[in-house]
Amino acid sequence: MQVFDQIEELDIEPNVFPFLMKLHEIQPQIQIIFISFLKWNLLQKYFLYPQPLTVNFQKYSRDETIQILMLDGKDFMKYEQFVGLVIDSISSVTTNLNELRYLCSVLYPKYIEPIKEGKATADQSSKLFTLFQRHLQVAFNNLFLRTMNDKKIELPYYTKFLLIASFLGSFNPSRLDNRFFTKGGEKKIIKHKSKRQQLLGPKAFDIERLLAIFYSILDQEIPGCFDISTLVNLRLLIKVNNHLNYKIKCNVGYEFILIVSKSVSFDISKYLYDFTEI
Amino acid sequence: MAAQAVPFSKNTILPSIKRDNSSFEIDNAANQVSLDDFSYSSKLTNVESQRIMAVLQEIQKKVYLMGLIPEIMDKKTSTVLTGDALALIKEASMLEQKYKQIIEQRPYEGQSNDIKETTKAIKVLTRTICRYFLQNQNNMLKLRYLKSNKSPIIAQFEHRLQEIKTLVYDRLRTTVEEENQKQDQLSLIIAKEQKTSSEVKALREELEKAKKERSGEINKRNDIIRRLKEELRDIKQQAEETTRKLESKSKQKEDLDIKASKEKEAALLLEIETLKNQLEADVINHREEEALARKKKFKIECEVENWIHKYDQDLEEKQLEIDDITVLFLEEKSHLDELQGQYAELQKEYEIIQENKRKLEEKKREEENIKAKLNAAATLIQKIWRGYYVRREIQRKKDIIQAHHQNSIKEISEFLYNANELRSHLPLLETAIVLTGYNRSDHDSFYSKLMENPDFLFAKLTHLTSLKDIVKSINQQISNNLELESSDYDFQKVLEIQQKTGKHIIVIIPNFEEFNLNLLEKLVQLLIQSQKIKLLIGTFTLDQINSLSPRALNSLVTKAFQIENSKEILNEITRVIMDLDFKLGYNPFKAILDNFNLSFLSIEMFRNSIKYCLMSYCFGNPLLGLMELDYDSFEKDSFQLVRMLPSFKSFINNEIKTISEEEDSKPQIKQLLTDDKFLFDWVKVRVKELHEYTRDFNSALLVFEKMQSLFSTNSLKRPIRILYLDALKSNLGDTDYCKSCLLLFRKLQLPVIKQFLLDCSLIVHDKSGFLEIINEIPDVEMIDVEQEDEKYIIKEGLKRVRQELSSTRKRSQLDLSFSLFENEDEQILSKIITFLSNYFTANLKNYSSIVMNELLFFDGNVNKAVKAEPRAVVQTALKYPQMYIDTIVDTNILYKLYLECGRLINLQDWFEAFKVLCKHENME
Repeated sequence: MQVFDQIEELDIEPNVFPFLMKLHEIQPQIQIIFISFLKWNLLQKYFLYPQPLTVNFQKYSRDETIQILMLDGKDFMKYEQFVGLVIDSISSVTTNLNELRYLCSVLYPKYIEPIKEGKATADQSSKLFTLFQRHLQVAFNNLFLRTMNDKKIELPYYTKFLLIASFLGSFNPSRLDNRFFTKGGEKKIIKHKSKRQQLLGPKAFDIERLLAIFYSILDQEIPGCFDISTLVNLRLLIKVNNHLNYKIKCNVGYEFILIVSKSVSFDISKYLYDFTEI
Repeated sequence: MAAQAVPFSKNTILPSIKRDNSSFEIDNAANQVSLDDFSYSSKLTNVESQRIMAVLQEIQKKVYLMGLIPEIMDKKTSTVLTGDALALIKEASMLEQKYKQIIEQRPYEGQSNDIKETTKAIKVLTRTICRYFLQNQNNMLKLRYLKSNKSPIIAQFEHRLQEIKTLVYDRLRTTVEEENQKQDQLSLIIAKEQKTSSEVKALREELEKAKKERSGEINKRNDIIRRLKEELRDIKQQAEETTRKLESKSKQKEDLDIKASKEKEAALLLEIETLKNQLEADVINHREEEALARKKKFKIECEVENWIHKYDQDLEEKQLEIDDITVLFLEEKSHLDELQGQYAELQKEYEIIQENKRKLEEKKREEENIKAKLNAAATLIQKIWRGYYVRREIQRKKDIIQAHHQNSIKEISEFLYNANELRSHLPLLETAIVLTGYNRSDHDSFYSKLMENPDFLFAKLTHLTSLKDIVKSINQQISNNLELESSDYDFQKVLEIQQKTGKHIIVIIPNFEEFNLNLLEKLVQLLIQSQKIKLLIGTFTLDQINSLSPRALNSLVTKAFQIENSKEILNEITRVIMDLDFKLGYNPFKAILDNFNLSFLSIEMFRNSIKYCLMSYCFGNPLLGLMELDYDSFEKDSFQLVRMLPSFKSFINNEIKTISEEEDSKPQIKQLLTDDKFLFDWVKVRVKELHEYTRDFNSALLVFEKMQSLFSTNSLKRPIRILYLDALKSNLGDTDYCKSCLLLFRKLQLPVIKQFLLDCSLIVHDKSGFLEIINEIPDVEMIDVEQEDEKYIIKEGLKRVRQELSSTRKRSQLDLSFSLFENEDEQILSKIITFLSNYFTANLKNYSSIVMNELLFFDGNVNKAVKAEPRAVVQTALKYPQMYIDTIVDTNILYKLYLECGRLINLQDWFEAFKVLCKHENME
C-alpha cells in the first residue's frame, strides 16, 4: 500500500499520475491512497480518470481542536482555558492546526505572566484576559508571519544611506530628481496623473542614479567603497539584468526604511514624492 | 472542249438560250417541240434511235405538263379546276410539302424509309396526274390557262431537256466512221497547230534574247568610251597644271639660291678680312711674350746658382754645432744614472709601508661587516619574534570572537536538541533562525564553531539549485563526518545514517537570502519526515522569512537567535589591542574604526587592518631593536634616526628652554646629542617609562569605563572603543566630557562609590592613592529609594498619576538623604572627585606628549590600505594608464570614447583613435 500526500503537487510531472492510476491493473496487490487539499473534480482538470473511492475528512470541531492542542501542555496551568480563548478569537481567521499550535506556544507564557508576577491569581480569568488582550492583538497582526521581535537593524553608516538612496530611486520618478536633490531645484509641484509608484511597487533604475542620489543625500566627503553586492546578496536590493546594463531596485518596505533613516536621523518623508503611510 | 467545238444544228438554236425567258416564249417553244417531233424521228434510219427519240419527246411533254401544275392553291385554281383534278393537285402539293420537310430533316439517317415512301408516293401521284391530264384535254387547257407563269427552276429544267434531245438526236444521226474520221483529222490538226506554236514561241524568245544582248553591248561600249574621254581630259589638265607649278617653283628656288650664295660670299669675305687682322696681331703678341720668358729664365738660373752656394755654407756651420752638443749630452747622461740608482731604493721602502696599511684596513672592514651582519640578524630575529608575538595576540582576538559566539551557540544547540518534544503528534520541523549580522565573512567563524559540536551531524547548504543536489550534498557532508563514502541522491540514505548514528542532523542554510524559496519549501517537506532532522537558517532580517508560503511556514517551529553584536565583539578586540605591546596611534585607529562603522561592519576586515598595521610597524621601524637589543648589537647609524624623532627634538627644545639657568643639566643634553652609548641607556629608561605609561593609561581607561557603567542614563555612556579613540586623540582627563562624567558621578551614593573604588584598586597598578581615599569614606548604609507599588492598577490614567506621584516622592527622598549627610559627605565627595580628576589627568595623557612614543605607537598612514576605492582606482587607471604601464592600451581609448559618446561606440572611431595614438608615439 502506498500513500501519496499532496498530489496536487504531482501535476508538475504529467506522466506520473496516469502511471499511478493504472498501476493496479498491472499489479493488483498494490493499493494507492492519495491525500489532497483539493477535491477530485478540481484535480480532474489535469487527470481525466474515473473517480476513485473518496473519503472526506471533516475539519476538526472546536472541542477536537482543544483536545489536540491540549496534548502540548496537559500539565500546564490553566492551559485548557487559554487554548479555548485563543481558538475562539482566531477561529474566524484560521483553523490551521500548526498555526494554532505555534500561537499557543508563543502566547502562553504571556498569558500566565501576570500570575507568575503575582499581579493576578489563577482564578481571576477576566483580569487575565484583559492583560492578555494586547498580546493577542499583536499575534493577530502577525498571523502566518514569524516576526514577533523587533530588533534593531545593524548596517554600516554609509550602507544605510545607500539603502535609503535606493528606496528613493525606486519610488521617486527620475524626472523629479532635479527638484529633490539639487540645492536650487525648482520647488513647484506638478501633479502627475499617472499611478502612484507606491502602489506599483519599486522600479528598477541605474546604479549611476543610485550613486548620484547617495552623494546628494549624504552631503559629506565621499567615502571609498560601497558594498552594493552585499545588499543584493541580502536581498535588500534586487538586481535586474537588462541585456545592456545592470539595474537595481529596492526590496525593503516603507517601515524598514523608516527605521533605517531614523537611526541615521534622516527625514526621508521630505524626499519622497506622492507617498503616504499605509 | 471537244464538245464545245461541236457545231449545233439549225434547229437546236432555240430562243430558250436566253436564261430568263418569258412564259410566252416557253409556250412557243412547247409548241415547237410538238411540231418538231415528227421531223426528229423521220430522219432517223435506225428503229432503236427512233424509239429513243420518241421516249425523249414523251418525257418532254410530261415535264411540260408538270410544270403547268400550280404550286399554290388559290381561289382561282379551285374555281377553274374541279373534282379529281383539284384533289390530285392538292395531294401533289401536300406530298411536295412533306418531302421538303423530310429533306430538311435530312441529318437523321433513320428517316430513309420515310424518304423512300414519300418519293414512291410522289412518283405514283405524278404518274396519275400525267395520265389524268393527258386523257382530259379540257383540264389541260384549263391548266394552261391557269399557269400563266412558270417557276424559273422548271423552265431551266425544260430547257436542259431540250438540249439533251438535240444532242441525242445529233449523236444518233452520225455514224461511227464519220465520227472516227473527224476525230483523227481533228487530232492531226491539233498536233500540227501545237508544234508550230511551240516553234514560234522558241524563235521569238531567241529573238528577244539577241536583241537584249545587243543593246547591252552597245551600252557598255558607250560607257567605256565616255569614261576614257573624261580621263583623257583630266590628264591633260593635270599635266598642264604640274608643268606650270614646277616651272614657278624652280624659278623661285633658283632666285633664292642665287641670293643666298651672294650673301654667303659677302660674309665669308668679311671673315677672311678679320681673321687676317687677328693673325697679324697674335703673331706680334707672341713674339713679345717669348722675349719676356727668355729674360725670366735667365734670371732664375742665376738665382739657383746663388742658393746652392748659400746651402753649402750653412751646412758647414750646423755640423760644427752638433759636435758641441754631443759632448754636453754625454756629460749629463752619466749624472742621470747616478740619480736613478738612489730612487729605486726609496721605491722599495714605500711599497712595504703601503702593504702594511692595506692589511690593517682590510682587517678593520671585515670586523665591521661581521658586526653589521650580527646587527641585522639580531634585528631580524627581533622583528620575527615580534611578528610571531603579535600574531599570537591576534589569534587571541579570534578566540575572543569565537568565545563570544559560545553563548548563542549553546542556546541554539539546546533548542535544537530538546525541541522535539512537540513533535509527538504533528509533523513539524524545528528551525533555529539565526540573525546573523550584516557581514557575511564574519559568520564563518560562527558556523565553524557551531559545527564543532559532536552531538550533531551538520550539513551546510550553499549555492545549490535543485533538490537533487541538496540531497546529494547533505548525504556527502554527513557521510564525510562519519568517514564514509557516499554521494547518493536518495534521501532515504540520509535517514538511514541518522538512525544508525542516533545523532541529530542539522541542515544549515547560512545565507537564507540567497536560497531559492521554492526549493526551501520543498526541502522543508522533505526534512519533516524525520523527527531528528533540524533546520538552521541564517538570515539578515526576519522579514525575509515571511516571504515563505504559509504552508511551509506553519510547518516550522521557529525560534530566533541573535549572534553576538559585532560592535560588542569590537569592544572586546579593542581591549585586546590596548594590552598589546604594539600600540595604534590615533590616525590609524580612527581610519580602521571609521572603515568599520561607515562601510563594512566587518570584524574580519577590522582584524586584517590591524594585522596590516602590525606588519608595517614591525617591518617598517628600524628602531624596534632599541627596546630589546643591547648596545653592542645595535646598529650605530640608527642613533641618528633616534635623534631625528619629533618627540626627541621637542624634548631637547623643552630642556634647553626650561633648564637654561641651571648649568648642570646642559652637559647631559650635549651628551645625548653626541654620545651614542649615553643615548642608548637614556632610551632604555624612556622605554621602560613608556611601558609604565601605557599600563597606567589602560587601567585609567578601564576605571573610566567602570565609572560610566554606574550611570543610570545612557546619554553619557560611551563604549570602550570610542573612549580609547578619544583618549588617543587628546588628553581625555582635560575634556569637558570627563568633567561632566565626574559631575554625574558625584550624584551616586557613597556605598556605590566605595564599592567602585574598591573594584578600581584591583585594576590599578599603583593602589596607594585609591586605598587612601577608600579609608576616608565612612561606612554608610545603602538607602533604598525603590518604593514598589504592588497594587494592581486597572485604569491607565490612574496608573500614570500614581507613577508621577511616586516619582516626586522619590525625588524628595533623594534630596532628603543628601541633606542628611551633607556636611561630611560633601567634603568627602569633593575629595573623591578631585582625586579622580587628578588621576585621570595624570594617566590619560595623550601619547604624543610622551618622549620616544614613536617606538611604541604606530602612527603611519593606513588610509589607502584600509579604504580601498576600487571604483575610483579603476577609473583613474582607465583614464591615465601611463601611471601604471608604459604602452598605450586600446581599452583606455575605448573608455574615453565611452565617456564621450555613451554606450554605442563606432568600431571605426576606436580604430582610428588607436591609429592616431600609435602614429604619435612612433614619431616621438
